[in-house]
Amino acid sequence: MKNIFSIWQARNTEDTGFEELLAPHIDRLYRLAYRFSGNRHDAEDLVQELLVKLYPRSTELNSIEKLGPWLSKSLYHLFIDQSRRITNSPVALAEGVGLELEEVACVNGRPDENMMRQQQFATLEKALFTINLDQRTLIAMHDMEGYTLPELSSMLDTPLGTLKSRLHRARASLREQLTEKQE
Amino acid sequence: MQCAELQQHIDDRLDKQLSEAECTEMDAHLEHCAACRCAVVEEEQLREALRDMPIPDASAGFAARALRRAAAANAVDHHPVRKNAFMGGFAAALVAGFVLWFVSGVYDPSGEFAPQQVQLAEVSISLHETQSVKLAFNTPEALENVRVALVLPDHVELEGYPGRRQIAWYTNLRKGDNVLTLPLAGLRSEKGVFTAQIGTGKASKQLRFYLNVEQAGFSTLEAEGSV
Repeated sequence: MKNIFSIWQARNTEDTGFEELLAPHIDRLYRLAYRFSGNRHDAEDLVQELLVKLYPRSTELNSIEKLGPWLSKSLYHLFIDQSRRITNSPVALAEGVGLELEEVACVNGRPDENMMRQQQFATLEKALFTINLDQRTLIAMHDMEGYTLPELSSMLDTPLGTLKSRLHRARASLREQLTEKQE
Repeated sequence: MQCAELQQHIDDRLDKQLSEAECTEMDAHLEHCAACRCAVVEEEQLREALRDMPIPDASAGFAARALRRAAAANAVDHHPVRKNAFMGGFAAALVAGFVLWFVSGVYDPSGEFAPQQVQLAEVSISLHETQSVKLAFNTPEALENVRVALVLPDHVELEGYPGRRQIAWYTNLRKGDNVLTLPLAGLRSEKGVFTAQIGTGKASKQLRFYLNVEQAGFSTLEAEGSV
C-alpha cells in the first residue's frame, strides 16, 4: 500500500513538474517556431507536437542543466524532420498552375510609411522562404532570434568555423534573393 | 586592408567575431572609404529588419492549452476507448470532406509542374464576397487514403464551414493532376497564410500561400484622392 501511494505521489509530482518546467519556455519556443514556419498555426502545431513528445520525459527534463537551449535544439530537429517528411512525399504540388483565382480583385492603394515597412517585411519574408531550409533556420536562430554562434555551435553540434561559413552563405543567398526581388 | 578583404569580414564584425586589432584596422579603412561604409550600413539595416520582423502573438491561452493537451495526448495513448471515439469523429469529418472534394470543377492543366522550392504566392479576394481558389496536386501514381488538411487564417471562411479554422479529410488521388476548388469568403480586410497539407501516413507535402482579403472599391477611391 505504501508503495502504491509513493508511486502515485511520484507520478503526480512528475505531472506538475512538466507544466512548471516548460511553461516559462513556451513563448520563446513559439517565437522560434514562428520564425521557422512563417505562420501562427504551424508554429503552434510545432510547439504542441514538441510538448506531446516531451511529456513522457519529464524526469529527464528535470536533469537538463540548460533547458532553454536544449528545447530550442529539440524544436529545431522536430521542424527539420517534419520538413523532410514533406519534401519526401510522393505527392507533388503543381505550383505553376496550383494556385488559381477566378476573380482577382485589383488594389492600388497609396502606400504610407507603415505600409512601406510592411512591404519591406513581406519582401524579406518571401526571400527568406525562397532560400533553402537549412539556411533559413540558421538565419532565423542567429539573426532574428539572437542565438550566439557559440550557442548554436553547441545546439547544432557543428564546429564554430563551419557554422560561420554556413551563416555567411545563408546571408549571401538571402541578399541575392532580395536583389532579384527588387529588380 | 583593401575593400574586398573588408567586405568579406563585415559579417564577422557584426557577429562580434573580430579581434580588437582587426576592428581597429577595419575602422581605419572605413574612415576614408564611402563604399565600404555603405556596405556595412546596408548589412546593419538588413540585420535590423530581420530582428524587427513582426511575430503575431500566439492565440489566446495557447501556452496553458498546449500544456494541457500534451498531458491529455499522453493520457489518451493509454486509453483505447478514447481512440475509438476519436476515430468516430474522424469518420464524420471524412464524409464532410468528400462533399467538399466533389465540388471541384473541370480543370485544364498547363505549364510546368512540381518545382521543389516552396515559395509563398499571394492571392487576393474581395471582402464579403465568396470567390473560388483552386489548388492543384500532381501525383506520379494513384494514391489511396490520402489525408488533406486545410488551415485557414482567421480572416477567411470556407463556404459551408463557418468558424472552422482547420478542416481535414481522407480521399483518393488519381494519377496526374487533381484539383480542389475552395469557395472562400473574406471576413476582414487582412492578409494571412493559408496552408494546405496533403499526404500519406509516412510523408506529406505542404502548400502555403498568402491570402489577402481586400476591401472592394477602397483602392479606387484612394487612387482618385491621390491624383
